[in-house]
Amino acid sequence: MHISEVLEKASFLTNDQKMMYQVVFGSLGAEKQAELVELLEKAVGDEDAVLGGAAQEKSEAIKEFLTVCEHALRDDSAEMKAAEEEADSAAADEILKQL
Amino acid sequence: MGEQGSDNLGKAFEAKEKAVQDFKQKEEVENADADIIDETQLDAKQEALQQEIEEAGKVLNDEYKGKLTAKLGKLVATERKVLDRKLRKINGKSEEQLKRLHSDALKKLGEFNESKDVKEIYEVVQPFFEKKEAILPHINLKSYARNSGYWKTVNEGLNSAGISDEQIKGIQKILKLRQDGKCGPETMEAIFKMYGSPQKVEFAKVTELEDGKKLDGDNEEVKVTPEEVAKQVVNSLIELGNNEVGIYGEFNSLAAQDGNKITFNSQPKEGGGTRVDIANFEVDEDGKIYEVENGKRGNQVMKEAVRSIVEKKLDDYIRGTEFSYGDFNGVDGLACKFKDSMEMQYYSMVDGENIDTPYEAEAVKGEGKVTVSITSEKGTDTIEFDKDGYVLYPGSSTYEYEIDGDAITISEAQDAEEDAESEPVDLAKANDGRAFVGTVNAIGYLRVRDREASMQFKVKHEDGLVSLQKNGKEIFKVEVAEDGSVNINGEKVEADTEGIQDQITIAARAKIEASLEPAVAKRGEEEGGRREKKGVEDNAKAPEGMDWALLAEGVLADLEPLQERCKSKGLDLKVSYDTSNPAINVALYDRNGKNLGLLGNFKFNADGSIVDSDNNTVQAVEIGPRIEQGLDKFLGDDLNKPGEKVEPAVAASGSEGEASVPREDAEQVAEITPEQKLEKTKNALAAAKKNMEGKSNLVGYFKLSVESDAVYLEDTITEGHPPQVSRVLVDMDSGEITTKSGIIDTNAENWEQQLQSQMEESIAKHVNGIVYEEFNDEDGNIYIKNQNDLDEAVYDYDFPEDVNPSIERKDGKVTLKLKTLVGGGGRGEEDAREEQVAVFTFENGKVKADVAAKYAPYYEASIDGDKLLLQEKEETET
Repeated sequence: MHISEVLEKASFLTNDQKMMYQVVFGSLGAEKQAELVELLEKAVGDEDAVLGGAAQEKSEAIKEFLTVCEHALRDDSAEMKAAEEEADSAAADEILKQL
Repeated sequence: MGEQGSDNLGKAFEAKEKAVQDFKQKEEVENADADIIDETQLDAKQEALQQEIEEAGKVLNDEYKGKLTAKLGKLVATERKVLDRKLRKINGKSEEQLKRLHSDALKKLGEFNESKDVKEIYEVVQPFFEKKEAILPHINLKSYARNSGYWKTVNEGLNSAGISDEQIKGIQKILKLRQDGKCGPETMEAIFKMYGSPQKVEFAKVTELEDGKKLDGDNEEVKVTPEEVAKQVVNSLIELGNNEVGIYGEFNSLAAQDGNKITFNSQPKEGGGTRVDIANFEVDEDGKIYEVENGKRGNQVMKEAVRSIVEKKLDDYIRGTEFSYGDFNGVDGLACKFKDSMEMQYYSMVDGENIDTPYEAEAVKGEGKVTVSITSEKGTDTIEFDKDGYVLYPGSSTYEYEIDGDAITISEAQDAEEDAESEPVDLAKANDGRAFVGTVNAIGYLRVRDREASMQFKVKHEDGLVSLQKNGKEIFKVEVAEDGSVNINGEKVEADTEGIQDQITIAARAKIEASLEPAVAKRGEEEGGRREKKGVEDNAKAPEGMDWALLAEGVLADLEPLQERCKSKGLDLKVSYDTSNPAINVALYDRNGKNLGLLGNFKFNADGSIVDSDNNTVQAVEIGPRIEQGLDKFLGDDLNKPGEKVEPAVAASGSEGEASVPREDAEQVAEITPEQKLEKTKNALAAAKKNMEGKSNLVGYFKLSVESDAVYLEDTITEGHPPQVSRVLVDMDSGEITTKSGIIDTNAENWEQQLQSQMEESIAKHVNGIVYEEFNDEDGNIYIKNQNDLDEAVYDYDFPEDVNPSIERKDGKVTLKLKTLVGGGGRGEEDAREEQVAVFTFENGKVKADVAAKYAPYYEASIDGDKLLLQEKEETET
């Protein structure tokens, strides 16, 4: 990854810090440049992993929430429909008796 | 096709497989991402759920619809609370993890910042970011007045913000700028760029702050308009024009100003000669003055130097310019004007005995001389006059020229013997200066000079009379009476015709030297403390103003009889002179030029008599007998027997087949110890340095240092390790002295002078190639001193930001290299390296620009007056 890309992703650095490391990078030898990029890449990678894991967990919790709600919706609306139909049927019977 | 076709097919297949794999992987990642539902989507999802509940209720009657909505609403709300709790927990956990991670990352960055090769860079850069808010107000300029020195104010501001001058130098190094510690426009722009918010700070006439406030800076020159500068210059030249009447005789000069342009011209006052441009200058908008030659702007000159430049040019113009040939008062001849003459000199062309008339002549002004070509029926020949009117005799063997008063007599050259016989008393010889140890110039002055002084005597020539005047007072007179007898200074001389000329010469010399006595005494007082004492009294000094070369010639002439005897044995007597320790030395050399030893060392009393300073004695001597004694002693040979082979009495060096220095005299020559040689070497270098200081102020920066076996002369102008101007090693065992040019022959009697001359040459060469490495300074100048350029040349420049200038010098040649950094962009790329884009070469007072072949399509290097340019070429479509 190029230094500017990795600095862009390094959320733990302020903008000024990012500019500063850009300047420092320009004055370093090739070996140290590689070391700096590696160090930043590792930090960015670890951060991505944590954020990714949290996002996954949160996604699952949200899915669970939605699933429960959807299931309840399906079940309850079916139950209400059935109750309504049963009520309607009882009412029909009553009307038929009266006829 | 065959195998190669199969290979290609295989490669194509592999490439396609890889493309499919890549696509699948990408799709998986995208799908995985699509599965992720983040918090931002939650509300929308819940809204959709709510709508679904509404939809489900639509099919129900109101009773069941209400029940369904209430039941599901309660459930969603409860579940959402559960979800929110879960999400908070997840967020909290990840935040903790990130905090740890960031802490770890910053700690590792901190360790990295402390590591070798990083720390020094980080410590320079970091304060500029840490104190950014305090720094910005000080560098926030719209424009910067050139030459204003406003950088000092900026630096002070930065100092108050906690940035030292050293730190400014540091950041300049990091940002690849000139490390002068001056925060000027270039540095400011680079700092803005470093902060990620580029801002231009233009050079202008005034310094303008971002808030519009304008400052004059420290240098008031920016306030002066070019016209005002031109006016000041013209005023100084008008004064020169007014004074010139007394100084330059019949010439009338004029200084004029036209805006920023200055002209100075001159015209002969009488005779209606053409008005001639002597010098032209113009002033640029920054107040810099440039000489204009052939309509083009040349070198920049200091205001204070303009007058002396004009004076010199005017002087050059007036000297010897008025040469013409024509009919003057009915006589064919030459009209000449020389520096010291207030009047035009008219020469009639007089034919010698066997020369046909008429003559035609043409005068041409050349470098330091005027050549007059004279044509007769016998052919064309020339007479050369120097600027002062002294005649440089032509190398013609066909004709002889005699300047006799106002006549130039041309005659066929005759044999010397015949000549001597034909003219028993030749006053013309006295008149041309041969009798007076000097040359009489065309306007009748005898110049007597040595390296340090030059004195002039007026020679009067009338019929049968030659006299010599100093400050209007006659000091010498020769008269030839009608009966052919000769009077020297009023006394009749009894001599045969052969000896009379020598007597005139001797008497004239004595009078000249005696007349110099007061000046000699004065110089003696000045130099008394510096003289090397060898038991010779201080009155044994070189006569002031004497021409040493001529004295040496005179001594050699005295030794002519001995010389003939030496020659017959393959030896040679040579005479040299040493003005630093005023003396004439006589030494013997073999046919290979090897110095066999010193035979005599003579000093001169103020009255002109000669003193033998050898053996620390003071006694008046005659040179001939003294040298003859020396030769007898030296060779152990009877020199009165010509033709005998020289048999040196004692061989000192032992070299077979070489006449060697006898041991006794060898010891005399080598009597100084290596320690003394080291001391003398130091003195020679110091003398060379002192002498050259008068010729270049740069020499003042040179440092002379003495070690146990070496003397060094180094210049301290350049930062870092000072370049060696010269180095002389003295072998403390053998006494051998080695310079960069080789071994110094310390057997030579004037070796110290030789060493000094060599050092002076070395200094001159070094000074000519010296560069003030002030390039890239805040005023945007490059200071360069060119070979053969008496004044330093100051160049402005305009180079792209990504090139770094560096200066190298070698053998009097200066190169300004412009390099750029390529490669080293990150991992996987090669290491960064410098490549040369262009080079400016300064040699022999000229500058040349070249672009490296690789960069020729992209850059153009040029010189515009005093500006060095490297510009990117405009892109062209290919």
